[in-house]
Amino acid sequence: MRFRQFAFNNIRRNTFTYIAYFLSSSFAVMTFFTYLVFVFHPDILKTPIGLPASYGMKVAACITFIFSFLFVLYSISAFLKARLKEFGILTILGAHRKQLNYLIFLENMFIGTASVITGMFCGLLFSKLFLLFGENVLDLKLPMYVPMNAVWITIAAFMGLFLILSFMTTIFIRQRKALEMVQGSRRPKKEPKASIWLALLSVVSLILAPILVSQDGFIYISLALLFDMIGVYFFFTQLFVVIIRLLKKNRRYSWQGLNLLWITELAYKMKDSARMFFMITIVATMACTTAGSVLAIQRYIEYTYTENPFAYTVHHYNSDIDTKTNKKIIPVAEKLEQTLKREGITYQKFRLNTVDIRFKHLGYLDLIRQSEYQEIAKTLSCPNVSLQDREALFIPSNLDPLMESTDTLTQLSFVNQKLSSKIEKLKIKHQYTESLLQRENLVVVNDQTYDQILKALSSDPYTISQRDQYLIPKWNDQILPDVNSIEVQMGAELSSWEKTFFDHDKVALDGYIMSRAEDYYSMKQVTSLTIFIGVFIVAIFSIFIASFLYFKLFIDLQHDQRYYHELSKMGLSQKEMRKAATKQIAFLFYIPLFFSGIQTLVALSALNPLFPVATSTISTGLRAIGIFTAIQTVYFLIVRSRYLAQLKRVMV
Amino acid sequence: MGMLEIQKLSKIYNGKVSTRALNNIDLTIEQGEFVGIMGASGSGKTTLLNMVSTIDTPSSGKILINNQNPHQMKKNQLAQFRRRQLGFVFQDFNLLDTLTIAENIVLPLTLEKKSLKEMDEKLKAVAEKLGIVEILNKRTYEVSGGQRQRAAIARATIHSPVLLLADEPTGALDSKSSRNVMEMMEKINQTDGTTMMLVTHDPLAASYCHRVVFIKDGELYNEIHRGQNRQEFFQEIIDMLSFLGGNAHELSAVRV
Ligand SMILES: Nc1ncnc2c1ncn2[C@@H]1O[C@H](COP(=O)(O)OP(=O)(O)OP(=O)(O)O)[C@@H](O)[C@H]1O
Ligand SMILES: [Mg+2]
Repeated sequence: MRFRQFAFNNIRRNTFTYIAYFLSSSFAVMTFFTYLVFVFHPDILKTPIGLPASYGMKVAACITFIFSFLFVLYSISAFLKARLKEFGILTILGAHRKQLNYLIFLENMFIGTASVITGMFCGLLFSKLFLLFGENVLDLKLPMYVPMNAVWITIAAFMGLFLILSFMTTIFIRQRKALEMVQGSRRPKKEPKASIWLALLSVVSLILAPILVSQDGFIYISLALLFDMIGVYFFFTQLFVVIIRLLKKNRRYSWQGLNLLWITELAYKMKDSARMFFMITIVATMACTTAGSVLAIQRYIEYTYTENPFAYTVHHYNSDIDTKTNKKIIPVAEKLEQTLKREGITYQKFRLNTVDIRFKHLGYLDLIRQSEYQEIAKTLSCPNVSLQDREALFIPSNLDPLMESTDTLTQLSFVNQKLSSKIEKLKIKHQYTESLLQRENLVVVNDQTYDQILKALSSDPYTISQRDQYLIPKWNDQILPDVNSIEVQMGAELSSWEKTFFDHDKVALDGYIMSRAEDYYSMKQVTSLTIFIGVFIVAIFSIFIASFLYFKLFIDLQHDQRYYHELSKMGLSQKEMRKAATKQIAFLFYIPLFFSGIQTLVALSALNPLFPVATSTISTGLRAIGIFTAIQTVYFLIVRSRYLAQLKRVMV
Repeated sequence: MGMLEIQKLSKIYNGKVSTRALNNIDLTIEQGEFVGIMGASGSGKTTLLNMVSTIDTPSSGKILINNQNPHQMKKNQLAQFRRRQLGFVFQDFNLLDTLTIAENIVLPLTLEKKSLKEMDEKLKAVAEKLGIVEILNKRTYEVSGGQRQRAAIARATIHSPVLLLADEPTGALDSKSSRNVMEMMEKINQTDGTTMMLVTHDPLAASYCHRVVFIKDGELYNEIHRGQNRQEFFQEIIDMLSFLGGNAHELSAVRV
């Protein structure tokens, strides 16, 4: 029998050991391939969001590949560990190292090639589904195409990967002694060691990190990140072992029912792959934090739409700038009104003249005349307050939270010297939160005060910005528009009309139109794409975590089966076995999740002040964690049932 | 009525070729008796022990322990029966290598949720009796085979089982450790009155029993009782073994 035949037969006979390795490799290939089919889709690049998005997608592709690499690396080492004994016996029977290396190399290449082919084939089927899903989320047409790019890149990347891994594993084997190999994973494991000091360092770091996050400043944030990493790393490598040791010292707890069984085993399992658990925690945190922020941004974008009562705003350029050129001036407001009339849409128009004035503590606020405000207030039924001289109605925007709370504020003081000497201060008669002019914070004063302020400013350069706000009652139903809605389409039409005048040398516009629907919709597409890619990455990642834990459990399965078999002879019932094993697996699944949940919340609460209350990052963060937990729970249940079924077989 | 009643017990392993491992065994063991089971390799000793220890189910026949038939119990009930009434010592893999010796020994008690005080008392008593006090906090791979086996006996007896079952407990030990382990078993049998059933290849170990039952090809072949002298009994066993089929040298080559 030729050696190559031997290698091939070896795979055929040890089907079950190989199948896990083969499946996980195929899975890695499949996800990577599917993703590439999406990234290289010709129609994605043609869309307006295509170019910036494709950059992000390439980064995501790299991340996917790194995951795959680690994943395959891990499965290969798990696989080799399971077969160490076989290698040892072959060595003792007189197989040369060279032959052994050749055997391993051939095996890996067989499995590698097979899984690249299988993975791509499944990926081809799966990517049709994936593109359909993409079409729905992104409102794009994404027909299936012949993904030659994806095929070549996948083949090159993964064949290269398997080649490298094959060489690496021969090195891995070379370092083992024959005896060690024969004993394989059956050798009694040394008790996990840990240092009290490093465990304490972990505790201190874990306490410091959230404290530092709550401070302002980049240096604190980076320090917090550092401490957090240290804390989590030493948690898994040291603190956890110490905690288990303390738990075991407390015999009242540990010598009680099943505790002795699962606590001890847990310490071994955790310590064995502490680094992997650390990595899982960090990446899961990153995933949840990003997801939380993107969801918050999306909520925020929706909120800017629903909170803005005006469908269109026309900003007028300062007239004296345009008169200097001899271009023909086209009034944009007229164009907008014509378009609205053509479609038979009734509207109300409000003209506003605002001035940016800087106030102490609060920065620039927009000053408005009471007479102009009153008209809007009447239509939108906002509070109408009669204002005396030097009294103000303060309307902070709910889209742009001010750094400090203004609830107890009683007056507004100017920064400008002239204003503070002539007008002194404005007394706040009333205030309420609303976004009348999107992110602008408004100060309403009566007409006389308004004029006085302008007069006082006259020697300084100041600008009045003039704008027309268009209220279209029909569209204010709080329903988010989709691509086919007339509001979005009209917005798009107007913006492409505007574009035709950019850099025109004969004509110029006297202002520009802002359509809330158009703004909302184009931003929404960016976040949708991000979420779409994000979901994909998180899904892959969580599958990787689950299969890692699956491997972890199944490498130890032989040991665990012996363990529970002995216990079962002693009279451990099946119910008790299920309980003890479930607790163990649950800890393995949920401890990293618990940590990343806390870290995500801490990180997002640091980001929270940047967002309005209604779109808090905390709630979206909780949602992200919740979804992630739900996915992991599904895997937990699957892995648990498979594992318990295996253990049940040895129960007598 | 004995404390262990085996009636017309048969076991057939169904496989590609069916094996009749046990055929129509009748055996009674009295309360407090110490019985050895011997026979050639493959004669069905382990099979018999597994039936009694309820790890395996008989094809036909009945087993009564204290008038209870464990094979009619439900699974969880059976597990409980095993851990309250029975104790086991096996040739290897007795102890869990992730636990210390002490933890291994108290394991049956922790499963029963006994109080810490009771566990400590019992642990101390059994460890002193078996002379393993100083290794209690060691791990299983840090102690000798003989000590490991004594720890296994400690675990098998800490909950005062009515019946102690041992399958070649001295199989992996040298004769000095074997003797030591057997003396411990004898001591427990005498002081606690625990009924014991011991499967062994080793005439030396068997000579500590009150009675030795010989099995051949799955059937009861003969039995001999011990008189006053253990040395004499030992010789009788050797003779019996050589009579049993010329393979006495094979059997005794294992030990002595
Ligand atoms: N699980 C099984 N399936 C099929 N046949 C079995 C099984 N276990 C034992 N046997 C067969 O039953 C017979 C008795 O086996 P048993 O293990 O009881 O022998 P033993 O007397 O304990 O031998 P040894 O002294 O070698 O331990 C043997 O022929 C054996 O091949
Ligand atoms: Mg046997």
